[in-house]
This record gives sequence, structure tokens and C-alpha cells, in this order.
Amino acid sequence: MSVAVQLIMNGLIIGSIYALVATGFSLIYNVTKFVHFAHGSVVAFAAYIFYLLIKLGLGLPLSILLTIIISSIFGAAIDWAVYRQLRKRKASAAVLLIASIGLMILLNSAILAVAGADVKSIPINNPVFDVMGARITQLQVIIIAMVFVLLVGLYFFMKHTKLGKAMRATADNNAVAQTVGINPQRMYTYVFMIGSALAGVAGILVGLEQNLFPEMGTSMIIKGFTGAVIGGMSSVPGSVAGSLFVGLVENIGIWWLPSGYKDAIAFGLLFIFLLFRPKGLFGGKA
Amino acid sequence: MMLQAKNMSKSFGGVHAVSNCSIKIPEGKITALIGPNGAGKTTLFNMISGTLPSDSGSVRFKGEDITNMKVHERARKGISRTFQMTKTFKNMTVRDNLRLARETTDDKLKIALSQVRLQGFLDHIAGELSYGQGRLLELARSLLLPHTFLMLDEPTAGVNPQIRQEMKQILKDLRKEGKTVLFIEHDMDFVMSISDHIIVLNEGKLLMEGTPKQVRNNPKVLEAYLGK
Amino acid sequence: MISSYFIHLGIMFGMYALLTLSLNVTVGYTGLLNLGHIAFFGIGAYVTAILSPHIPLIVSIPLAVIIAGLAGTLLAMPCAKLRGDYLALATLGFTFICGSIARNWISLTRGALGIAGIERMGSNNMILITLLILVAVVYVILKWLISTPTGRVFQAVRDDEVAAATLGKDVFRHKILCLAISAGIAGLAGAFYAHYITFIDPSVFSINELILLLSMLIVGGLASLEGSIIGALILVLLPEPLRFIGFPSSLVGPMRAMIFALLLLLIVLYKPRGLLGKVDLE
Repeated sequence: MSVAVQLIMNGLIIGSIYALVATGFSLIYNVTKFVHFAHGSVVAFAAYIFYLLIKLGLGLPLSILLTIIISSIFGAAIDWAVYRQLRKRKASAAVLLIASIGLMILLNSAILAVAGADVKSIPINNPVFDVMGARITQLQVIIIAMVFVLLVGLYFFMKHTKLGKAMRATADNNAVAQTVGINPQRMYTYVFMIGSALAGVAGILVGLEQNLFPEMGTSMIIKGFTGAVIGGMSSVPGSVAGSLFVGLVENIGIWWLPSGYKDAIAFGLLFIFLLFRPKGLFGGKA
Repeated sequence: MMLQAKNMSKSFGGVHAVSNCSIKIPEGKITALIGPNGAGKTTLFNMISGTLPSDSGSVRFKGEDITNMKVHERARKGISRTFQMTKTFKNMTVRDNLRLARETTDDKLKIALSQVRLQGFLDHIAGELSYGQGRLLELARSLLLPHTFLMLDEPTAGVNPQIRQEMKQILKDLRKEGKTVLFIEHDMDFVMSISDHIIVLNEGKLLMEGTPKQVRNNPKVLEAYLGK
Repeated sequence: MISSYFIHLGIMFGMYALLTLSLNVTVGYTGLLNLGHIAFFGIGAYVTAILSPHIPLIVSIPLAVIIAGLAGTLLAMPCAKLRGDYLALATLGFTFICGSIARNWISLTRGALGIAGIERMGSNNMILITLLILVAVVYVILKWLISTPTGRVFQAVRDDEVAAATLGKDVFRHKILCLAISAGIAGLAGAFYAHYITFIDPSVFSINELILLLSMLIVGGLASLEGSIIGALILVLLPEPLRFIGFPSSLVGPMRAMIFALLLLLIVLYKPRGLLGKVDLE
């Protein structure tokens, strides 16, 4: 019983971090209409920046704030330096996807070259609670609360602010949005900033909760992307539900499979959904 | 009967593009499919050739039920078609475009091209042709494909008037060879001058069918085109 | 010493040329954005590495080709319906799953330790000559294939699937055939790799290798077999100067990957059709 509760808890906690990655990713996908595979590398980048700032002795609050700002700017810079230039040249979504995989490798390798291959961890004071026979740390409670607040905030931002509505209009129909005076390039910049800020938070949380290693970005995008696909790509609540599902399945799955298969479980899920329900659990019929 | 489509329906997100529509295409004749914009002509066309799955209904071709056949299987039964939005293989040469319809000698391909006034374009890349030339290439390709039933979606749109006249001749020649033709067209003069049989759709339903004379004299047709 | 270095480069070129040529059949000629190619390479390498202690190479290598080809067929069957982005991601997922299996099915693959002491195929000279002959043979066969009616259907599928179907072409079957052929050739390259290096581990499924292949393909150009050979040659040689600059060995790996990734980005930005490409990536 307590093992089951523990696995479910673990699944929900890691799933909520995936949810941050997935919402950022699907937000970018919906507005720009291409797969930003390097999104996971922005998460990794943020985790390493956070690690560096903590090592520099900036303290937790300032490090968190700076990390989020830096990743947000970093995301917009990627868009400006690569994707925008490709869009200008009328590159297809396939070309943008290839470019994003190139970017992912570039970032992963840059992290490996600068920070080294060794696994790093950020030491923090982290008391443990007992909930229904499962061990939950203070950090994990904060993770769930923080993700919840951020995602609810994002939901209201998209639904009720002018900028949020403009983004949704661009996502829905770029051409029509332009006729009512929305500048798509500006929307792309904003969506990359918001998505990458969420990636920044995810990087901080995953850096605190787990260890840092250079290829962590690849693993994060696999999970986030799978969560987004399961959720149907087009809806933020769907991406959240899909990500929690991924977290649960991979944690419960290691009951039967060696823990090394965690990534394979996520991709197995992705595979199944791409083939049988490409519009996700909540999307309409394919 | 060459082809018989029964109770065909298709809706897109709640909008009924075609609803419970049944048509028959007589063998060896030229049949026109007409109707105002949004009448469901192209949707019906696509369901017959199989490029769009129907929600319900059945299609029989030369007496055989082809409802569950895939596009390529229908093509192999002898159904050849063109598209409203031209579908050439843009990175391939005109020659290769044509050879995909029928493996034959350059001489035969040149004859096929001259039939649509595209002689001399054999080595051109299809994507570099003009819009009108692309349409003609597609027509030549669909004529080359071994077929008994030819479906043309707005064959004269975007081609020059001279070719339009030649198109008439091409269709008449096909009829002489015993082929069956079904085409969608907005140009009424063109329709009236060569059709043996006309099917009129309106709002996804069969409005009437008959000879050009019957169609011309039917007040419901005029009403459908002009609105009530 | 110097000549053995060049022989090594020649062998690497031969292997990558096989991989790039076969990848071009799926991506360049048939228009399937296949990111699973490196998986077939790995499958070929693992199959022959696992089998060769028990059966002669003359049997295990063809088996590697056949099993890689079958894996291609199996991947193609469910994926053939997917388009563009989705196909790319499903095939990429396939690569990750294969890597994960290689790491975790320890009783078969020895996991992260890898398989050492694989039988050498012969002297390096012999491997080089055999590979170069194979590159030539594969080049000629593929050149012939794309000029056949089947090859024309591949290209028709790339340009317009629906139109190909209305001309009576079975699009689904041709996609499967294309992936099977391409995967089989990748498996052949993998088998050579295993019997040349004599050691393999799950890193053969690494995404860094995938980016290298994509760079070779796109630098050379889509739908140009000559381009693939030139692309493979350029990218095999390009990072070599790094060896002589004297970077610490821990930096050489990531620097190589960065060079390939940067080159790929620059190519798609400034010369999207590569050197000899005939079609755009869509």
C-alpha cells in the first residue's frame, strides 16, 4: 500500500514538472506551428545557470529570479537567432524541426563542454514528511504548489488578458490575426519568452529535485513532448493532464520494468498516442 | 450504368457538405456535375474517387461495389481523375509525371503532350510550369492512365480560351472511343455544348438530372443559382 | 602510422556514405522525414555482434541486414500514415526506445558495458576495400532503383501522395519498401562498424550520431546520391583537425557534436538545398 502511494506521489511530483515543460512547449507549438525540440535544452540550460548562481553564492531567491529572467531572454534569443531567420526564408515546419534538433545537440554539447560530464546536485535543506505512508519532502510540496499556481496563472493570462487573447488568435489563425493588427513576430517573441520562463522554472525544480547532467534536456523534452501529445497539443489543461499521466505511468511502470526503462516508457506512450490518437486524449477524432 | 453512388453523405464538423445524395453516371456519355458554390460537387467527386472517405453511402463501379476500396485500387479499376487544385509531382520532370500514369515510350508521351498543347515540355520540371500548364499536364496524365471513366474537376478553370475549345474536342474524342466522362464545371456554355447528361446539386443534395435542355428549362435550377 | 590513420578515415567515410545514401532514399527521394535511421545502424551492429560468436560472419552479416530491414518494415507499418512532424517524432522515439533496450536488456546486450571482443572482419586494408566496393555497389543499385518505375513512385509519394494514389500507386506499400531497403543498408553499415571497431555499446544509438547523419545528408543535398557521398566525405574530414589542435580528450566529443550541429544550422539557413540537393525539405 505505502509503496503504491509512494509511486503515485513520485509520479505526480515529477509529472507536474513535466507539465511545466509540456505547457511551454505546446504554447510555442500552437503559436508558431513547429516542434521546438530544443525546448528541453532550455530547461537544462536553466538548471545549470541556477546551479552556477547558487555556487556563486547569490542565495536562493535571487538565483531563482535571475534564472527565470535569463532563460526567458535565452528562449527569445534562440527564436530570434535561428527560427526567425528560417521563417524569413519561408522554411517548412520540417526544416524548423531539423534546426531545433540541431540546436538541441548544440546546447547539450555546449553544456557538456563547459560544465563537464559529471552529475551535479544542488544541496538544499529539505525536511521530509510522512503522508499516508509515503515520504514527501518539503521541496516536493513546494513543487506541486508552485506548478499549480503557475499553470492556473497561465490559464487566466491566456483567457483574460489582451496579450493572451492576441496569442490565442495567432495560434488559431495567423492570417486572420494579422488582419486585425496583431504582429505575429511579436507574438512569437512573447510566446518564446513565456514558454522559456516556464522552462526556467522547470529547470530550477528539476535541478533541485534530481541531479544535473548534460543530456537532461533530451529527457525533459521527451517527457514534455509526450505529455503534450497525450493532452492533444492544443490545450494547456490537456498538456498538464497528459504530463501527470506520463509521470504516473513511468513511475508505476518501474514496478514491472527495470528503472532504466523510464525513458523508454515515455517514448512507448508517445508512440502509442502518435499512432492511435494523434490528437491526444482530449483532442477530437484524428 | 458506369457508376452508381447511393445515399452518399459527408459532413465537416457539423456542416453537411453532401447529404444522402444518389447519382448514376451513364456509360459512354459525357456527364456534367453542376451546382452553385458550396453545393458539394467536389466533395462528392472526392468520395467517388476515394480521396475522401464518405460518412455513409455506397459506390458501385461497373456493377462492382468499390465502397471500401482504397484510392489506388479504384484507380486500377479504371477511374482516372484530375483535381481542382492541380496535383502535379513538382520536383519531377514532365516525362516522369506522365510515366507514372503509363510506362511508355517518349514518342507516345509526346503525342499525349501535343494533345494538350504542351509539346516540347517533356524535360521540364513540373513545378516550373505555369498554373495553366500544370493543369494541362495533369489532364494529359489522367488521359494516359489506363481508364474507362474519367473525372475532371473544373478542367477549363485557368486555361486559355483556345485550349478550352480543344478540351471540348478532347472530350468528344473520348466519347467516341467509348469512354465515360464526369466533369465539374462552372462555364455553362461549355457544359451545355458537350454534355449528354447533367446532374445538378444544390446544398449537398441532388436537385435534378437530365439533358441540357431539361436542365435549362427547369426553374428550380435557375432559382438555385440565383438564390430565392 | 600515417597510412593507418587514413585507412581509418576511409573506413569511416565508407560507413557514413552507406548510411547517408540509404537515408537519402527515405528522406530525399520518398520524402519521409525518418529520424530512426541510426537505430537501424545500431540494430545491424548489435545483431551481428551477438550472433557472430555462434555463426560465421558470412551468415551473421546478412542476418544483420535482414533484421535491420525487418525493423524498418515494422517501423514503417504503423508510421506510414503519419505525416511530416509526427513521422519525424515517432521515428525519433523509435531510436530512443532502441537505445533504451540496448542499455537495459542486459542478458542480451550486456547493457552499458557494451559488447567487446567482437570478431574482426579482416585486415583494415581488406575492410576498407570491401567497404568502398560496397559503397560503389550500393550507389549503382540506388541510382538504378530511383530510375525504375518503383523509384518514380517513391518520388511521386514525396511530391504528392494523393496524386500518386489516384494514378493507382499503392503509397503504403512503397513507403514500407523504401524504409525496408534503407534500413537494410543502414544495418549493413552497422555490421561493418561492429566487425571493424570490435566493440559496441548503446552509444551507437546516440542522437549525436543522428545529427551527424542529417548534416551529411543536408550538406550533400536531398535527392542527390552524389551529394550524399560528398556530404559524408566532408563531414568525416571536417572535425579531424580537432585531433591535432590538442584539446583535452573530454572536449573533443562535444566539440565534434557542436561543429556538426552548427554546420547543420548554417546549411539550413544559408544553403537549404546543400551542395547538390534537388528538392526542399518539407
